[in-house]
Amino acid sequence: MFKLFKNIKPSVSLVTLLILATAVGFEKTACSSFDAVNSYGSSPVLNKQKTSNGYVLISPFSQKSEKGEKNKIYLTDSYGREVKSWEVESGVFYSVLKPNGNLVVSQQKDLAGGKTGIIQEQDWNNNIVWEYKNEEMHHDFKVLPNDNIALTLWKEMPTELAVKIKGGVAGTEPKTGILGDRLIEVDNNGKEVWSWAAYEHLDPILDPFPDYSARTAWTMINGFSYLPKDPIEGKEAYLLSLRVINKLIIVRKEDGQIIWKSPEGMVSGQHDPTILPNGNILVFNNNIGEIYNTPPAGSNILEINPKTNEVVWKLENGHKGLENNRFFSYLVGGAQRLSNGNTFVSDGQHGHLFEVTPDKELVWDLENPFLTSKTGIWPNNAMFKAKKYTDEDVKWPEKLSSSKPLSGEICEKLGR
Amino acid sequence: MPKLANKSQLVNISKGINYLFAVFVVLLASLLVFQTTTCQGLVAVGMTGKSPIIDINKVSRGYTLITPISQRSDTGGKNVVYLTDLYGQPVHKWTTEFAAFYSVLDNQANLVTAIISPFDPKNYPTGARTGLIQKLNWKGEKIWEYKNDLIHHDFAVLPNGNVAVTVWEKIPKTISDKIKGGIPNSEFKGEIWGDKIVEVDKDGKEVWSWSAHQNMDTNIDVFQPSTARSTWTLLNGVTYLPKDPIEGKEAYLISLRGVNTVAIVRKEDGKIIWRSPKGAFSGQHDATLLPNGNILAFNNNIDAAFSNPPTGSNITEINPKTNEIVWQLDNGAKGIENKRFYSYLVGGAQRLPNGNTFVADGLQGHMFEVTADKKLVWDLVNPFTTPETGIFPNNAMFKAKKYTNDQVDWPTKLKSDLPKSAEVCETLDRFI
Repeated sequence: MFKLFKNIKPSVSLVTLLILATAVGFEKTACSSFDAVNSYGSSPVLNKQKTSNGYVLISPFSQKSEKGEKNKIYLTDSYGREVKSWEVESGVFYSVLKPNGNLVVSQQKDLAGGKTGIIQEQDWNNNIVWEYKNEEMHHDFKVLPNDNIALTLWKEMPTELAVKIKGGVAGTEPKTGILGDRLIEVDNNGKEVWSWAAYEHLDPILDPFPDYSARTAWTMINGFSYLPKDPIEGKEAYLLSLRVINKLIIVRKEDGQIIWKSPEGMVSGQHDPTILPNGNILVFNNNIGEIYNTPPAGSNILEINPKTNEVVWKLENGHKGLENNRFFSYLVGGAQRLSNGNTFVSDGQHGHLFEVTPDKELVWDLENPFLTSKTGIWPNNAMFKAKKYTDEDVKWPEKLSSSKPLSGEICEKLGR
Repeated sequence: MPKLANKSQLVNISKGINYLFAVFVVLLASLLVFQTTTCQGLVAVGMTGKSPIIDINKVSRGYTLITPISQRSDTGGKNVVYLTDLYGQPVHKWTTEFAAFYSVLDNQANLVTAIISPFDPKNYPTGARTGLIQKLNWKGEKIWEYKNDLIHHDFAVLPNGNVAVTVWEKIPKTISDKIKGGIPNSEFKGEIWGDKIVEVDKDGKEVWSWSAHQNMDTNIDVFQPSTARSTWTLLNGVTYLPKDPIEGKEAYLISLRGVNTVAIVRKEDGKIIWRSPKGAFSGQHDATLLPNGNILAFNNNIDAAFSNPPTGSNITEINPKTNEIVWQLDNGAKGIENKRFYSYLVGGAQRLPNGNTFVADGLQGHMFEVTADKKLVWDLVNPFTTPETGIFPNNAMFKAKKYTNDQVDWPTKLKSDLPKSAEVCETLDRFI
């Protein structure tokens, strides 16, 4: 090779060309394809420095396969590439990771309504190590610090109470009665060790169905968090999202009393409330109550100070109708404040995940690349919500590949 | 392609085999470069990051006219309107004087565009005000314009070259006081604004007009609950019909969003000769007449947003003689799937000559095409963005339209709408 260069020395331009061509070739392969992309076809990582470290757990909604094919749940790096996956036999509604790396997954038979029925815990090798079945189970669940699991159940309400609930569209009650919510705690043996019924603590007159709502399920707890210390009294409590009545509440665990309720009109159709280290509440506010507004407003992420009832931080897509409406989700959704101060958002209905800094700079943006079986026109990549996990959150049973791989590693080409 | 060295250099290095080897290496390197650029970098992609062309045999041939809609118009910004091939690559573009709201091509390939002349939004009851319609030739030169401070939403180019435009007008108290519904005392500065269609000729002269408030029924056409009483009918779409499907006369097909109604107006006397049955549409856009006499529209389906389980938007083909819905496209039958195709605002639908339906889910900057049996054959995320203030790059549109070679007399030979794959590989500047 050296001899060759020596012999063709007069032609410096030729050698330059050769090097240039190789360099161009390398650049193209390095940066023109991704396993997953954002909604504009570019890399999900918009600002590598400002994107938080961590892995995203994506649980695409799926239904049990009649052919016996397994559904999957994915742990991905910042580029939306699988670093680990789990197989699940039935349909997937939602899943989380435990600190030991086990997966806890709620399963669904049907893509509508949020009914689940089974929660299973699987270890890193897909072995089912725990299971809880309850036909009344729906929506969210939480793994508690003592390893118990809290979950929500639907319960037909006593008729004498159901008839007292004001509001909603008259005549839409199911024949079997209006459904109310129960929140229960289950221990490792599947034994119910604590429970709370929303309908025993809410007021049928002060907490009515909204005018537009069918009178099918009164409160619909679609998300909740366990609070070792609530921000009002510092006691053990639960923070609950009551979708149908457009309220967030904090329930004192000791006696079930509601010690805080979000102000009227602050949230509507909301999901996934969590408590932040500063005592504020973060929530995905679907903002469905404003659909008929002129000009209409989209969904938003709110940080609420429950002591002053002030919104201290709000993330929406612009201030005008058309812009604002680009971020609107009627169903599902999630919000998570990350340890570096960023906020991770799941616009689950559209299979769209993104991350912004405290000053609302978009630094990461991913279209869920994992599609599930579907009957609609478009490939289905919707999910209930997704969560991001750092090395501090989970003790990984094996060494994972980096959550922020070097650019050279991410260029295995997508099948375009 | 790398430029080869000049003759004198070639003489200097003509040392036989080494030179040939070097050339071989260069060719090999070029080949590698060519291969990697061939199929990895598409200028634009579909919803899941793949090529917009899903079924090359079933997608309709033609060019898509994309008008990214900017709401920065009040700051006087310009816009670019793009004619693109099936991969979403521009084959021609026009720059408009102000931010463009919506554009179409006439059959001479002139661009007719509604652009947003500077204005103070505080003086208008609702959005989508444009104020200026211009006709630009292929070179981008202005050849016609119509100014009217009250122009909003849609317009239609007539076969004789006239343009029909939707404008606002204030409704006289004697009528506005009778209109029922809506939020009490929510009129715009005490008044209700109504809609007018104005037909303008080649000299910019108004030659015909029709006032909605004189032809609507204050008892039937009521404001929806929870709606401001600022604009009554919200005429967001107008199509000229040389022969309406009911009487075979000259007419206009209009979409009245505010009262959830699609209607046919007899041009002769302004009478409404057909209105869509109650519940068929809500918040709808872009009603057009098909060759079979049916009406196609983007049904935003905003009323159903609150239904339980919720439903999304759909494309509806309705037979105006029987009031039957004969074809409907939604995204699946169940809640979450259905909701993935839901647009509160804007939207467009177009039946193509090959029977496919082209849809603009304008709010999400998403365009797609399905066959008559609802198979997705083309899917494009609008790659052209405007400088908005939101978190996400704005690529929204009012609607978009597709043009086949039969529909337009192109002034120059256009690049193919379906370039060979090798040609589509100018990479987008993707970043890491």
